[in-house]
Amino acid sequence: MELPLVIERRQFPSGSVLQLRGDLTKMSENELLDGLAGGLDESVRFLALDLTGVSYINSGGMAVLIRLARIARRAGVHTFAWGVTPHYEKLFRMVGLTEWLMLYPNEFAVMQRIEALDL
Amino acid sequence: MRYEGERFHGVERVRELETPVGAAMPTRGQLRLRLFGVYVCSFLAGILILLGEQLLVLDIPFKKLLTFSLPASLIGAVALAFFLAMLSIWRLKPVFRMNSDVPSSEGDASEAAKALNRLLTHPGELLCGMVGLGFVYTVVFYWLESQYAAIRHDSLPPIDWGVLIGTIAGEISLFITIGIFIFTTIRRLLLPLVLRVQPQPGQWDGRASIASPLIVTYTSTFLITVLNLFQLAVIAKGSGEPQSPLLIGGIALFYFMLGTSLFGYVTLQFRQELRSLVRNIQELSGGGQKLGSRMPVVSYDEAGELASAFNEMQSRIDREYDSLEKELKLAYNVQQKLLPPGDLTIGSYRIAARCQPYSNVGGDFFDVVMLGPKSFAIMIGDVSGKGVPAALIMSALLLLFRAEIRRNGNPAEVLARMNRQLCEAMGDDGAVTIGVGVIDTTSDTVRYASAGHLSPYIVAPNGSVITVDCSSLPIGFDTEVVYQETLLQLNPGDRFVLYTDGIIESMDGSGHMYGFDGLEKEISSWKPCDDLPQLVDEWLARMDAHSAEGKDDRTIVVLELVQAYRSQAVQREAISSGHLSELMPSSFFSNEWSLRSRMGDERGIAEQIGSFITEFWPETNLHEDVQSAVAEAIMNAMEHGNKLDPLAQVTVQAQIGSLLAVIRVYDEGGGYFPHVSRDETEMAKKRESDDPRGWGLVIIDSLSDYWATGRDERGFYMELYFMRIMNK
Repeated sequence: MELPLVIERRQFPSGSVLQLRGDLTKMSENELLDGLAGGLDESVRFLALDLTGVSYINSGGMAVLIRLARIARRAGVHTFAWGVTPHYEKLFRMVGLTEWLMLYPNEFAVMQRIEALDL
Repeated sequence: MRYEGERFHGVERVRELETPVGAAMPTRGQLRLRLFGVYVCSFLAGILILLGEQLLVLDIPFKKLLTFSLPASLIGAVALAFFLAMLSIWRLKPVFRMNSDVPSSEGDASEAAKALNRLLTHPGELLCGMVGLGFVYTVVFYWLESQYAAIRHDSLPPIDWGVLIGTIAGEISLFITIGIFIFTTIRRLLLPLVLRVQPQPGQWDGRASIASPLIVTYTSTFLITVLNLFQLAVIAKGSGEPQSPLLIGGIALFYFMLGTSLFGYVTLQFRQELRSLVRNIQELSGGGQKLGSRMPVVSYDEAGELASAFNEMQSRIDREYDSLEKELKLAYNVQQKLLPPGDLTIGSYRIAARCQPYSNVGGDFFDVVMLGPKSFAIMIGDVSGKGVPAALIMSALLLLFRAEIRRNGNPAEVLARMNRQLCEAMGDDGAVTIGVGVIDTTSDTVRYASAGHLSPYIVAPNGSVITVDCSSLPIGFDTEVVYQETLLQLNPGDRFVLYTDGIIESMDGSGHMYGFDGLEKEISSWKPCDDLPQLVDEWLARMDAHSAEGKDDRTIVVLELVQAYRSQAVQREAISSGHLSELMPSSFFSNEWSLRSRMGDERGIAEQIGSFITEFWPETNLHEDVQSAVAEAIMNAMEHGNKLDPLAQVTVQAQIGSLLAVIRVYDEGGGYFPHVSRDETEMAKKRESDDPRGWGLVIIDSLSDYWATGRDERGFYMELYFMRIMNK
């Protein structure tokens, strides 16, 4: 059975972190896009997705991530992600998701990159 | 009883009642008002006649009449009208109750019967009542007049009983006149209500005779004339002066004309009722009325009983028809289930087939049978004749074809054997045209044989049409017929079109036949497209919109060698052929799962297969790849194959050998063309679309070593091949 996606949000000075847990599929589209819409204001320039707790992603979930990253980019927000297994990283590259979503090994690396961009 | 629309055999049935006089249904208030109006008008007419008599015949000065007689008559008329209206409302109470509530139970039915009885007997009651009331009223009037004179101390002449009887006779005739006015008018007024409360079979005990109202009217008008003439004679005798013959003649003529008019009116009413009855019977027998139509019962006499008996007979016919209709519906369902799905995908081929029977069951049929991994057969047939016999032959032949084509895939031989069997079974009574094509998917050739069937077409992507000529006799004529086979080569994008004569013989509204020209023009205009079934459906819908009601079954089978898919399959095979042919799956594990088409359920099975890969091929790191690819294949089967129907099953077969793993995913649908894009521009466009989807096949294509789609007896499948290679 599919595990529902649980989203927790936390803020950092110039952006938001969405911590995702559960399965990322087409079914989680509304939760994820709602989660994004609730956190996009003028002060947010970066969006970081913590995918460490996501155990299953299918093509539907990847399509949702592409939509999310596209919406964010239109709002002038850069999207980053960490916690993606090598397998899913391979799949992300296959479908071209990495063009919209910058992948980093961990939160520290993401924050370093954001700080560098923010200067 | 109501006459609103009713559902009957899935057809909107409207009980159209033709009222013989075209009367509209009055509301309760309108009915009360009309009753009172009829009574007042009838009494005023009576008073006018009385006034005329008193002025012209009795020579009573108008001034004298004004003092008592006229006011008393007017007051009496209004009082009587009011009284009669009250009486009618009281007597017709069951009808008023019916007017507000629609009867639905048995209690309501008995109430309806009571209402009907009241409606039919009330005009007669009123006539009798009027005669009795007239008598009482006249007596009371003369008694009151004498009392009035006594109070005023007027000297009254001694009573001349002859004159008094003559006067009373004249006035009673007046009441009969009023009574007969009321009788005919109220009968007319209540007619719409009689139509509403239709008598049921078994409610005809004690009905009146058709002659009764005629006799009543005739007798009444005769009495009116006689009584008036009698009154005139008595007056002439009493005055001692001979009456003017002109006056006698005028009065006699007046009453004769009055009587004749009333009699004629009543007779005309009966005539209209009978003519309506005859017209309804003619319409029912001529099919002019819809099934379930009922004849209005407008009188409580022989004509009404005849209508009721006819309605009972009609009900019985309706029930029989209903039962027959249900059986035909069932037969239609069975027949439809015998036919394969109308949209099928087999390898690089797509098939769109439609069979539209003219009536519930038809004699047209088609079939698609898998003959092995590399070939399948398509067939189209048309049984001569229509209806149930044709449908029975069609069903038998369809099963016979399936058995024969599997025994031997040679179309000419199959036709010959079917021909012999049909000749033996039916003698000379069965003639069936059949076209059979066996398609070899490796060479893209069609071996086609026809038994008297219309020549199929091959339509190239550029619109050029080739007619495949092959003449022969239909099966069922001659056991010795030898059928010829033609070998046809299909090129990518070609469409092979089979059809029955119902398509050719379709007529448009102006009686112009669709014809071969129409069909050739249509199929040559078809552009290459992704959705062949939709193309065929749109064409048939256009035909339906422009053509008159068909008289024959219409069937079309279109087989397309899809260009894009064919090229992809060739490309994939070229890439993989070097490896696959060397690797026979020496299976040491196989398993099968079934699941419903519910998104999310794919994960469990995909993970199990992934874990088997880890178990059997421990040195590889393929399990996640297999898991993701299998999950995507199952999702495709659910979404594109089973159209997310939660009851449709997906079956997954996994076979893991020492060097090769093959996972086959079946669905219950008609098949689909998996389109995978390797072009980066197209991929980018997909990513930028509003609903970026379709990554499943990209993932499958990238993760598996080879994949293919196909069809066997279990249905449409996608199979994925994984090779035991390290560090993929």
